[in-house]
Amino acid sequence: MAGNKIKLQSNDGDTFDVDVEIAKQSATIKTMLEDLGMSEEDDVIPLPNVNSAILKKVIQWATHHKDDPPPPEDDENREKNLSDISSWDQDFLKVDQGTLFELILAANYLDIKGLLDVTCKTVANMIKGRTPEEIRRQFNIKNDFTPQEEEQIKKENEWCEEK
Amino acid sequence: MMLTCTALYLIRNQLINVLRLNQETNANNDHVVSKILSKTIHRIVEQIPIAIRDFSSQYGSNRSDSYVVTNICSHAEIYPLYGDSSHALAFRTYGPWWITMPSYKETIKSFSRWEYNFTSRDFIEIEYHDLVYECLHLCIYETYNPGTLDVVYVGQEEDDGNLTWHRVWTFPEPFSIILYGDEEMLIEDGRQIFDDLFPNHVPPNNSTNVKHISGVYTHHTCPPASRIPRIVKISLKNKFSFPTRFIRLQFDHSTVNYYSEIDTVILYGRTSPSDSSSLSNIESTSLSSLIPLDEHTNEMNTSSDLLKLPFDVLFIICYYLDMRSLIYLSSTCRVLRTRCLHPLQFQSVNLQPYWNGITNYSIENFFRQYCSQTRHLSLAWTKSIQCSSFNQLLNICSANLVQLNLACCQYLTGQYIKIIVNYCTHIEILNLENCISLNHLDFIPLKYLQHLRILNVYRTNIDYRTLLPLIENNKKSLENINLGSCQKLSDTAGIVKLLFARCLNLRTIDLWRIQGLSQNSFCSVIGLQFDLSEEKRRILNFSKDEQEELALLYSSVNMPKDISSITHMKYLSEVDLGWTDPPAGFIKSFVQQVGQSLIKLFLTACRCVNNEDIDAISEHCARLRQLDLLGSSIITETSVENVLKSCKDLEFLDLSFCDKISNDMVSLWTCQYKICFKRSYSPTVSDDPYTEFP
Repeated sequence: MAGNKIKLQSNDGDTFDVDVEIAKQSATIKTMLEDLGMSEEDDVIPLPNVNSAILKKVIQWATHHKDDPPPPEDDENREKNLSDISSWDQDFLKVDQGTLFELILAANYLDIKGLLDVTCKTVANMIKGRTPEEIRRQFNIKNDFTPQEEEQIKKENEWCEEK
Repeated sequence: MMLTCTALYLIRNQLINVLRLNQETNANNDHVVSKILSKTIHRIVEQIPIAIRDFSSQYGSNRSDSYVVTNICSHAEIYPLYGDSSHALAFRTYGPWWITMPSYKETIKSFSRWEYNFTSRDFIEIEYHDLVYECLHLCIYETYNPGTLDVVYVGQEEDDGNLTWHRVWTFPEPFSIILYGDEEMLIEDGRQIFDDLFPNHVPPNNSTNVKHISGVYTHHTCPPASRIPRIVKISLKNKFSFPTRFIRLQFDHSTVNYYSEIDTVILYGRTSPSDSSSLSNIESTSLSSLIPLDEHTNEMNTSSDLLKLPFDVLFIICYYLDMRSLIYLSSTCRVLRTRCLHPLQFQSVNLQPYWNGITNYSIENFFRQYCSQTRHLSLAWTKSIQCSSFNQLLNICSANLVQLNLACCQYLTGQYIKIIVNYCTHIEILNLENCISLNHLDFIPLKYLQHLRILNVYRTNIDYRTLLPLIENNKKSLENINLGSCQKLSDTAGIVKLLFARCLNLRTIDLWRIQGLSQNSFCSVIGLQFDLSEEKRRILNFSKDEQEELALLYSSVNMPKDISSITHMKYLSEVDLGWTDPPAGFIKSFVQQVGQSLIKLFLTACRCVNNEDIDAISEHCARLRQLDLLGSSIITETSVENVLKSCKDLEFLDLSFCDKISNDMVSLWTCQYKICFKRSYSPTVSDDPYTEFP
């Protein structure tokens, strides 16, 4: 039924009115509502791990995906193809790296499988096909191996070099 | 300008004669020799293959010379004609038809890591006679369904005789095609579709595989090239710096319309070392392509967002990476080294895409550390893994391992099989296809396995000594068995009989080209009347020792005398009887009993199959998706039309060489039914190279 709404509150105090069905894409919220018997009418659900800007994005994503069919049960049909991210999601995830990682953490905390998958795929795409040095630059990772360790790792990894 | 191989030998012989003459007469004519030598040195030599060192599959039988890989060891015989010729090389499969079947999907579904770089499906390794010091190019004569070349390697011979392979070309890197009339055309991006290259061409109105290919991961377009004869020219100039006489080609034929055929593969280059400076040039270019790592990394913010992710989230990201990217990510810093290279990331390890890098060192120093939880392992296509390394690896996996793929591992011996059986007692899926280095006795320990679901021994020397007890010990679990092209089964009839009598859960059976199944034996396995005395005579044809062995085996597996019916095989869905010779009426009885579950029935070149058999198919096989009737001279249009009308799920029908079915009728059906009709034709010539063949 449309119009059945709940209030979600970010850790910086903003509240958002959201359709129950949209909010239930979050398994965390679904559990709160169903198992813990929180009433939908007046209570505000506090989300201490999500700030207002990210929560807004999460709601935007969940609203767009509210009619998605549930993911297939069997492993066989799970899409491993990294290039299969829908163009809407691709546009949605054209954000700076900080925001992307905050979205991942929010999706993880709220337990929204679809959003977690698509954000993780996006990060995987940023790693795919790059050299270790390129990955370091991309994610601001400091190389803390000694030259000897690095030499050893190179030797151990030799099997996967493109030949 | 170009010297043929034989011409070169002639000159060689002349040279030898001259030299001999020189020695004998001790004459003072050194300058003559050097003159001839200098003439040969700078000539470009064209060589045809002299042998095939290794390959993954072939359409033809081991004993014949039709459609076998060795057919490329000759000058072009078919080119510039275009069409299906038994003198060409053809692989066992093509298109999406095999890889979209449930039996195949079952074997790949657990290898969950997506290897987006690897799309090859078959390979051949070619040997040439003379070392080439400066390779110029390679010409692949594609005479039927072209456009399947995926990767080219050249082999460097080490001092110990082993080869190391160096990748020199990968689709869709630039290459040329030569159409007849010697017109050469540079293709800068192999993914260009044919309409871009030849805007005015006339495409045939055949149905395509497009819908079925959409589920297959490939880099090639569909169809990969137009149906015209062409030479694919791959430049090898300045690509490597060592002399060679070995070439490896990998193919991805998943988007072609029908069997892809190759006439010959010619190597061009100089067969004498020259003082050419180009060699040193290559050294410098290949060195410069190794980009040195940045020595001084800038002082970076140590709190990378990636490192802040919880382990389970990082785990999901790693799950989406191909193996190489995972390894590279793990090489960036200490924290990621420990987190990414967790044994849980190695539950399924598909090393086929890395076949060229897997060495004893990598197994002993890398995989041994991480494979303690490995359940699915593929070492397909790998080379020369020592027994001790193999032992270490399987020891680490041991009872966890449920799937092992060793396709085309030519280093295997009986010792390796013992290791598998000793450590991996829970193995369910075993692939030993094309492991021809194993003799029939090497397989025997496999009979002790007890959980086999899927066994692929395509084109091996396995025989009844292994298979009879193996079938009995795995009769409840066995779902899928591939005995295709096994030509030394000896007691083929007994093996098939035991499979049909005992394996209630059998879903897929591939008997393509197996030897030794007489028409009488066919009748005996499905409850048709058969001649018992002929069966006795068959046994008497074995040697004394074998008869005794067989008697012992028969009593230990309690071999049934006859089978009254096979209606207990409720799940049988994919059956390949290609190139076996079932008698008329066999298929009728077969589909009456098990037809309701069949989705694939291949009766390639089963020449006794008659119209009654086909009518029974239309009556009983409501779920049929693929039907191959190639080579039938009996089957009529009426019978086939019945199948088309009643088998609503049919998507593939091969009617090549069906004499009683006219081309016009096939064209009509093509418009009427949404089915991929397959129909080959003999090599023919077209006046207009830009017009596709039918």
